[in-house]
Amino acid sequence: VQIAPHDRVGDSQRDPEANAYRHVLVIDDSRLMVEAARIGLDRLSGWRVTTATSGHEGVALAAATGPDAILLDVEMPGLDGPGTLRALGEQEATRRIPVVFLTAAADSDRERLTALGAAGLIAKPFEPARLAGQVSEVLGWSR
Amino acid sequence: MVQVARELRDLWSAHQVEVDANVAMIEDAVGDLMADALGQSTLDAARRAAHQLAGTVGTYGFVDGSAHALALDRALEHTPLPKDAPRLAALAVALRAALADETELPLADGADVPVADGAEVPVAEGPAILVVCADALRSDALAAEARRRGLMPFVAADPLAARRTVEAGPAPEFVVLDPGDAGWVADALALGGELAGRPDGALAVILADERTDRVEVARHRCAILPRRGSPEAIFDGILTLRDARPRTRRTILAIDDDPAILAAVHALLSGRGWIVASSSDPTALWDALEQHRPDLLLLDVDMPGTSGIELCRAVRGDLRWAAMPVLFLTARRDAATIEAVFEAGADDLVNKPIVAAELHVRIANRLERTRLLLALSEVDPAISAANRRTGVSQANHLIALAASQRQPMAIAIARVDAPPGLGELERRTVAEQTLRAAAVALRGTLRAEDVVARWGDRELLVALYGLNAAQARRRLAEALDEAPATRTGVAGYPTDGGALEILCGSAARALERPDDADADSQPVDVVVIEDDAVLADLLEQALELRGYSCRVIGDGDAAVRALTGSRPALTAPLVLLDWDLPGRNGLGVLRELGRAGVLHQTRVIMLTLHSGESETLEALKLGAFGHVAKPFSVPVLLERVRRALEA
Repeated sequence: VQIAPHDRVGDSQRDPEANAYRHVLVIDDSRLMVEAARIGLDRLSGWRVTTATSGHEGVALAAATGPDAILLDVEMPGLDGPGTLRALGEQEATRRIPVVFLTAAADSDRERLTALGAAGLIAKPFEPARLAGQVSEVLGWSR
Repeated sequence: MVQVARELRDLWSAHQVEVDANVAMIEDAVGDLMADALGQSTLDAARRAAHQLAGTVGTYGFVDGSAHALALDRALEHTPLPKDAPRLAALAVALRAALADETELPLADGADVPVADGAEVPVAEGPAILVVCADALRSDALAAEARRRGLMPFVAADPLAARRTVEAGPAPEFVVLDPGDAGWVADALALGGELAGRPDGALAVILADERTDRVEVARHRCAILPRRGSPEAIFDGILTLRDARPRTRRTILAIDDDPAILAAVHALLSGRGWIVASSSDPTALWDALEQHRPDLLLLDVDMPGTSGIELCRAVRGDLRWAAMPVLFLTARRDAATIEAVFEAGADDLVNKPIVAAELHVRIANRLERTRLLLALSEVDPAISAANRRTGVSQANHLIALAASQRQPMAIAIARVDAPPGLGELERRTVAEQTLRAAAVALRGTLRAEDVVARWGDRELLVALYGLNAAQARRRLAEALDEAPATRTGVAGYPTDGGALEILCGSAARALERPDDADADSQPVDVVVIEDDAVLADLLEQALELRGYSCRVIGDGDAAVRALTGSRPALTAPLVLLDWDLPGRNGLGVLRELGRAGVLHQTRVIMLTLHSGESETLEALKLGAFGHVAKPFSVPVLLERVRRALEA
């Protein structure tokens, strides 16, 4: 049986990017970073935020919770940012989730990171109050 | 954002150990390097520590610390040589010193906000908004956004504090209730209902999540917006809702460079039931018009930089404001000024010093004239409700809002039955009276933003925001309890369609269906067999928002009755089946569905709480398509639903 809900409903109504259902997974080994992101995205903007402090935990949580986007630290012990991105790309459940790198690295690194298939980059340090706006801008979400 | 600063300070203190450990790792590496004994693991640890600090500490305000950490990060990228040791040591010392300087942390006492010198900064005031929210951080963000929108926020942490605020301050035009996890939803709704139910009712909005009982919210005349939304999105929603409501209170915008005059205008007019917004900055006029959508504009003639007469001419030249009455306040009485004022398109002129009674009467006259004109074009006098054209435009407005906020809504057509055995003229009169009674009953019970309008000779169009079709049916049944001989057909957005014409068609068809077959005669996408009402509601809402039609059954025996038989009352390609049910349990239902041959065209996903291996195996053997363990994540379940329907 083939059900195609989009036959009945305009695409805009099921847009996973619509504000009401934003759910972001933050993967960073620094608790301070993760908590600052939570302030900006969850407490200030009301998005749903799931956090992980390692790449492996992040990949598992991404598959289990199906976030709309992932904020990913580049350098982490164990599975690092690029490795985590690769692992996400290998799973059917997670490969379509846009990933934004959080990086303190110099501009020269930007090309390398973007070439890995990330949706964009956000520079560290960030201001918590501006983070939701930055994520929306990088991903083309309407505010 | 004083609250953000406070939270950041707290986090910084709580994670001092982590920061110290990172700095210590760098110091260890530099020490080893000085002794020419730097090992690889120490270097790796230091590198990682420097990198992490470079990314982190800037967010907490340590600009110098961030720069030092970044320099160390770069220097450690390649294995350093002993000759680099002095420079690295200097950086490490500077880093530790910078991070110890807590004055770098964002200030929590608000001293970083420049103190305004009242006399020189333009003053602007707008309608009051009451924000009731347990999370100080969140209410801070909501209040800041309210101020950006030209509103005057009053913040309270719970409904009790909110009541005190309401008693002490001005009557709020807007109320935002954000209960979150606080246990005061019922109190909040009671407060919202009271404020919304006053003659010049406030627009009360509850920020809802999956747990919210939407029918109960509607009973208290509160509107619904999703809790998960940025303050910008929430205020976009609130102001769109405001624009969707017929306006009960009129808004007056006053522009005058003299704050004393503005204070007098507020004092004289607020008490009359009007909403007064004002600014002492004439250049803020256009923003204020957009923000407040006033019904009348009060302008000063002489203002520094701009003349009120020029502003009036510009306002008259803008089509959107061309019909708005403009009144001038002026101390000048010379013929030239008076002529210029009227030539610029002003409607009236009030002398300074202001005489309270005169100002009030002149404004009331103007507003009454526009109200009459508006009523002629928007109201159907026979039923005292909006006419069809206005109803259609209001309903379309609500549909657009539901789309942008991802909320459900319902369109209903209510039809009155004409009594048999009367002449045509009498039938018509009785029908018209019944229709009017229904319209009055609905208008008196529903929220101001809900639409009640003429649809046909014997029909009303009703739009209910934030409720799906089933919830709307319940709400309408309550509202029409006293109205005789009225039947309703209901269609839900987005389940039954995305455009008003389609939804109206669907509602009209539902009206034609005989009552007994009303609910259960259609094929649906998903049947949820689940006795936990909260969970069932959550699933229903999530599925409908994805565009799947859905029916909930709370009892195993009833489910078997509905889904089996030669002409089953209900057919669906997918069933979500709870394990523990009243009546037959889940396994029993599954067995019956298999026996009746339903499983040939229907897939079943079991929702299992204790997914013992043997039970799961038994379910799969009986023909279940899969199982999802409780508690489950809604997005994951929806993904399983999508696959089960598409596979």
